[in-house]
Amino acid sequence: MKSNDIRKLIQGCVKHKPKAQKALYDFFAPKMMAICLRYTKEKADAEDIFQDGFIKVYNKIHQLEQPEMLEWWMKKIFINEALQLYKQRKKIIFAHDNNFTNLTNREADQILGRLDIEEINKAIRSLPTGMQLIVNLYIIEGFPHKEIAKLLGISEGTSKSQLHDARKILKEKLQDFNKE
Amino acid sequence: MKEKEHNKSFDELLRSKYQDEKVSPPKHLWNNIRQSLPGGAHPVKPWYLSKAVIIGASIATAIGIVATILYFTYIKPHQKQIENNTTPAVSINGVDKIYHKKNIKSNLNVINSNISSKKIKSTNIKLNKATHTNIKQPLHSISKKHYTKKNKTFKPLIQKSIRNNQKVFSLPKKTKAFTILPPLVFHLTYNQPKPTVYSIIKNGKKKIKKNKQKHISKHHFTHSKKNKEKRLVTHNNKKKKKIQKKENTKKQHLSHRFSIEAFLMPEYSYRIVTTNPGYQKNIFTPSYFNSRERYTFNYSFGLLVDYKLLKRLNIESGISYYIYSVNFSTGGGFVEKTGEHTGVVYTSSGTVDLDIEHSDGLDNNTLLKSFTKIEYLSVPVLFKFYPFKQLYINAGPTFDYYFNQTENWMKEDQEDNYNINSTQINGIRKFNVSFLVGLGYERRIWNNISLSVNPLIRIHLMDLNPSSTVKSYPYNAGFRVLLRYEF
Repeated sequence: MKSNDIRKLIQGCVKHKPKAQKALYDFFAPKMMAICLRYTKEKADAEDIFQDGFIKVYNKIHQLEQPEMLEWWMKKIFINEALQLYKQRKKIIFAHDNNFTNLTNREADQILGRLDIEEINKAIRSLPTGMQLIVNLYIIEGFPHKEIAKLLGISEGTSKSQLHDARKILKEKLQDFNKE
Repeated sequence: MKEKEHNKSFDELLRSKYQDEKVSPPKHLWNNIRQSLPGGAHPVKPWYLSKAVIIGASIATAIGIVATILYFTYIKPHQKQIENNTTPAVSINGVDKIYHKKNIKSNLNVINSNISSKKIKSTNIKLNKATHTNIKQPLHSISKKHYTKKNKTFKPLIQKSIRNNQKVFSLPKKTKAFTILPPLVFHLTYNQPKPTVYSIIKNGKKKIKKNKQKHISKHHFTHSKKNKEKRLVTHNNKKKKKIQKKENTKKQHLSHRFSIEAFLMPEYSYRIVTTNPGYQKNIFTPSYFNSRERYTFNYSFGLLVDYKLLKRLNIESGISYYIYSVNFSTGGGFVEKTGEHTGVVYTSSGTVDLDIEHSDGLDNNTLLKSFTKIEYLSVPVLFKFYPFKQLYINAGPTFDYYFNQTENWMKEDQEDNYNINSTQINGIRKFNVSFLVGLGYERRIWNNISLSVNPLIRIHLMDLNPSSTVKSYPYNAGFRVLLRYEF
């Protein structure tokens, strides 16, 4: 979508025009749904986050100063919604696991290359909640540890160690999927 | 160091897998979001429901109706009047043509008004050819063979016009101006209507064109003056009677142009279910719903105004109340659990949120049944054609407004304290368009009152709920009983 079109969409949404609201939804909904599913373990939770996220987007879109950052801004809203849900339920568990795999780095990369996105998603979802969030935030979204720590209310060190453990477990899970 | 590098490549590989990852959200989510928005509570209207199209279509329909009424009220009767007022014209040698006209106003071009009575010599008639330029076809023609050599008089048709002191003239193109509503003034131009052509044949030798000519044989001509006059009187009387009869029938039709109808209709409501391209892969297929949803019988009623456009064509409109209702049984597996006591049920009409006030909560295999009733107000625009006097065919669009919905959900083996609260079906269209077609039999039961029976079918042209997993088109089949009062 061109930046001019995005500007028009935003202006329409600010004026509460149904056509613009629907166009924004049609364009971004599949991407945002994918994010919601990645951050949750159940589909129903993902749908709740998705609905609340979009309502927030429409209500706060007038605050967006840089139209070219719309997608990034929306992503942040949906991620915040997901984190808020976990915080409300007090379900973020930062577990440690010492049963790491002896998989070599090359083997891990090969397996990762072979698996499709649904299997990788399954593997990420099967991680303990804290690790799942950090893998998503650091590896997929590209947030720095400092910001992750701020978002989750943990120290930078915890974030790093969780990510380290998460990688190891994830490799093991991917190996299991590959065997299946 | 190596570990760090590998982590980086692993992360990049993983990130690349998620580039452009897209998952289509369920359609009902947009309806929920839309309803929560401050300015977006109304669904995006399709192009055919946009204001411009609706206003344009309404104006076009109104103009069409007014033009049709005007045509049949003012123009057609006037044309017929001209036709009725025209008496035979004379053709000499098939070249010269003259027209006779009764009661025509002075602005018409009179070419010969001083024809003396009874006997006229053929040489006395001088025809001005210039006056015939506007005339494409003569009304009635008599060749010169129709003069008798002895007394050199014209035959009865001419004599008749002479006795009645008629004027001979040419009829130019006419323009009539009339006002509907100020400042709209309509100018209508029309040609002289095509008349019936009479030709006189001798001994049946002359060929005539089929269906266009009436024959006056030599037997019409008698030498006895008394017989001639008698024949003429009888001829005139018959013609007068015919015209009077026509006018009476017309008056009768005109006097009963408007009528009011009230109807009651026992009807059966159901729906046609087809697949929705957005939900083709799920279990909610048309056959799945067809095996679980059952039809019901209802009653509909309404009040209609009928206007007679033509002898055999009426238009009717008004307001009617219709019901579409379906009984539904989940048969297990239809409930999608969303919480301990809450769930979503899929029906062919759309999704319903349930909340069960019971300690057992809601189970995916809970057998539930429901009764859905959707009420519509409908404005029909129907054309009624009478191929026979008492039989008619009616058809046309109806514009429906959905105003109420009732949902009753219960457990199949209902227990005490098992209350189920349900929302209304999400995303049902407020406006829909249907097409109605029926066949009727009408019988007069009193002076101005008639009773008719009208079996009909009414089917929705747009699906009931665009966000449903299947496309559902409701229809009603009923037996309408109408009571009609003619004004």
